[in-house]
Amino acid sequence: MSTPPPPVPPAPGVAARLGAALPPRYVARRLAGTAVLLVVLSAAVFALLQLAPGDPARTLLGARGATPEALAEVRARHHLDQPVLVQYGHWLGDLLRLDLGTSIRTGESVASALGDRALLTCQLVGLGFATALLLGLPLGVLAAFRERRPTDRAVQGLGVVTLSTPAFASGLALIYVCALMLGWFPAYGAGEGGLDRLRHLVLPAVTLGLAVMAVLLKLTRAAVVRELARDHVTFARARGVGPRTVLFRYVLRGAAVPVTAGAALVLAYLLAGTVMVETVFALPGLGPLLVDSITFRDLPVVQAVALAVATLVCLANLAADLAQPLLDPRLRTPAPTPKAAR
Amino acid sequence: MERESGGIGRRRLLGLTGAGLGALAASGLLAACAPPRREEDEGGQGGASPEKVTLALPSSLSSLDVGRESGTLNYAVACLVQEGLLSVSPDGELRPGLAARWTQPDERTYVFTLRRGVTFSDGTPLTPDDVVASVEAIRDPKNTNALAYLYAHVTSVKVTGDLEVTVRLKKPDALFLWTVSPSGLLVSSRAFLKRHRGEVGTGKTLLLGTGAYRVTGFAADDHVLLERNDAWWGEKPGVRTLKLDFVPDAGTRLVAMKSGAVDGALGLASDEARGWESAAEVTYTEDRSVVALAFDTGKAPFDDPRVRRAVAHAADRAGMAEGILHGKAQVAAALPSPGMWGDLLPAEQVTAAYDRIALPAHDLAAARKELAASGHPDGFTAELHYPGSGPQLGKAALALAAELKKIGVTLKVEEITLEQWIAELGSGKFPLQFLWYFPTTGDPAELLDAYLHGEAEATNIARYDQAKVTGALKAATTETDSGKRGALLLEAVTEAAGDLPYLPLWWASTATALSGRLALGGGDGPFALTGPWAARLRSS
Repeated sequence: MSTPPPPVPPAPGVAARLGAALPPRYVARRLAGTAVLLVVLSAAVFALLQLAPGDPARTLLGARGATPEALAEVRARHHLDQPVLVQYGHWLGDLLRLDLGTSIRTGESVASALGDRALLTCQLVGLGFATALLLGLPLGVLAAFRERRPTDRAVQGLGVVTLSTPAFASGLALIYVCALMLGWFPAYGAGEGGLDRLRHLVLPAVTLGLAVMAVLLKLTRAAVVRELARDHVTFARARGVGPRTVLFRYVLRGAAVPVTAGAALVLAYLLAGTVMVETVFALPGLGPLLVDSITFRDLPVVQAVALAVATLVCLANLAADLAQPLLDPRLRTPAPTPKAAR
Repeated sequence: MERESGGIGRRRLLGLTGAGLGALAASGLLAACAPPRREEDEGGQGGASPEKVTLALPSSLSSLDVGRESGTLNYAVACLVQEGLLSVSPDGELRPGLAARWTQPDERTYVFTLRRGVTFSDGTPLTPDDVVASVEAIRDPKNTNALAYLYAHVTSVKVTGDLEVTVRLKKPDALFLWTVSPSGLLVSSRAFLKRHRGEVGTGKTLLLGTGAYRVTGFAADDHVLLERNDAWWGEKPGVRTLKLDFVPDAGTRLVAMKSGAVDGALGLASDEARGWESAAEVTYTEDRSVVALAFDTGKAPFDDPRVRRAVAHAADRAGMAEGILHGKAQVAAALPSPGMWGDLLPAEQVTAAYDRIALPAHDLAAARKELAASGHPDGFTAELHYPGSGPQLGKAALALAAELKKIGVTLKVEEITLEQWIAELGSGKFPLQFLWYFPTTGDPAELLDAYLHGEAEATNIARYDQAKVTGALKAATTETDSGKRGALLLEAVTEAAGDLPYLPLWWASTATALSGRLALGGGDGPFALTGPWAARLRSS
């Protein structure tokens, strides 16, 4: 004998569901936290750069041109003769007026030096991320479904190889095979707009993606293995639910939370990886600019690039954090009950 | 000495000297197993020049303005676009440039008469006022120009006629004509300099000059694009479009050559150039640069001449030139390379004088003996830092450390950044340092006045002060007869050699690679890349 199912309450609207999953106050608090973190980071970068060796005024003038008067002049123009805190104050004040300053090295405004480079690096990281996801997730699932079988070991072995191959080696191998032997892609450079840019970025993006693909692969495999062992999955399989449904409705849903968190972390690795990849493929992105500016101690540029990269990483982590309650109701902050409010 | 680029020449130099990342080792491998190179000749048919040529540069420029960044590659690019009052032949002789002729009414006054009918690549005519404005821009503190020191003794630069510029100096300076050659003065227009004060040479402002090419695009870490300036007064360049791509990775650079993406490369390190020989025609050119050890003669233990001689005996200089630089460098007898004397003395006279300089030979027994007789018979510990952009300096330092260990001296070798190395050079904190200098002029006094002159406190890192040497250098400053001046300078060199304030290690060369379809005509002397070199590119 069967009882009729209880009446289903009407589904709440999308906005209401979103509001419940992500209370505005929670979002605002997280955004404020990110802003504070960025300010702390900028101060830390500023302080660390003071410890770096070298003297930008001397580098700029060269040993023979570095007369005391010329040195004093350059230092005064860039506030290098003032206490560190005052220098930081100058920088922060300019930033609040949306002025990133002028590069000590080139005399160019930092904003214009960054513009195209930031775009290129974002495109590279975006494509690299897509490569890592497209390779890492399916391979991770495959390895989990074939746990401890030869396929699993082969896939994991592949992951270890790509993870431990430095970008200058894997990049060069890809250039050698795909550009020189097969002639499919250009060997270096960023190309000019649109499709040409995409064609130029394929090899760098694959190089970049391969290096972090293994991280996603491992995370996905571990999460899927854990999900596969859960009672509701075993029960679903026992019920004869098709493998595709088991994968998408049960397993991947459960694995989504740890994989999302991991993916956000991977983004930070990708950004770090661009330095090497951009050098190998001769791409004018943020990486070479950051390295040169650090050794030169070109403060305004280092600050701007570090801040841009930090913002990107923070926002990615923020997005991952905010996505979690959407993916898993158990992670939602309980709405304050009237009693608690009182 | 930014001019010295390497030294100080910053990154390009580095590139120049081979900042190849870890992939260097791979380049030999690639050369060995490369498939045959694709033959793609666009327009390279018999005798005619190719329309477009792409060359790889080993490191990026951050600015096109040589006053802001003065590496050898910066000069190689800027000299295509801008010109000086005088020009330099590939062999190092001063010749007319923007000035068709010049006179020297007295020893402190120079009068330059400009070439008639010269225009900037934007179409405006060159006037004497533009020359004055170009010097003013170098001296303008707002522009932070590394060449400003060259004009410290200039009293005035004035327009004195339709085509005439007169320069007055505070005191006679035999090197002054080199100052107004491309190494010290690249002329731009007053309007351009005024419009872009403080930011000349960026990707937005570019450069304006009268040269063989005009620059139409520049993006740091990416490329420089140059178009032939059809209004140039010199012989019409064969190549219409010249693209210089910055490709920092040595392996990528070689594959780019093999795949036909580039037609050649400039400034290859000697390690790397060998790998290129299978893919391109490689030419090695003496680049006038010198690598030496500088002993601080005012500081223990190197204030003891016996210690300096012991170190010199321990250094296997011939082994360094052969083993580390693959025979593409010359064991140095003095700081100025033989190519630096081209404008002063006949080559044989310089060679003969250099042959008579007897620097201590590689001989460990002699080294032990000198050390035992010195004030440090039980040895000592010293540090030697080298810039990361000069890996060959690091190898030389390690080779020296291994030899010194055998005589009981501990040498701690450490790699530092180029910027840190520049900061240390003048600090006086390190009694043993590398001197790595790329001269921009072709006059030995550039090196001698900086490093052997007792009153050159800022640059004389050996703190060498010997009355006879300083006296000869001072006399040479005012000597107008080039033969006599050359003799005075040579006297300073030989006199100082006995005191060993510096141990010259080698004079280096730079490698240029071009695909078989291209040739750089007009001689490959030590100044081949100064001046409008690309105008001489032709189909081979």
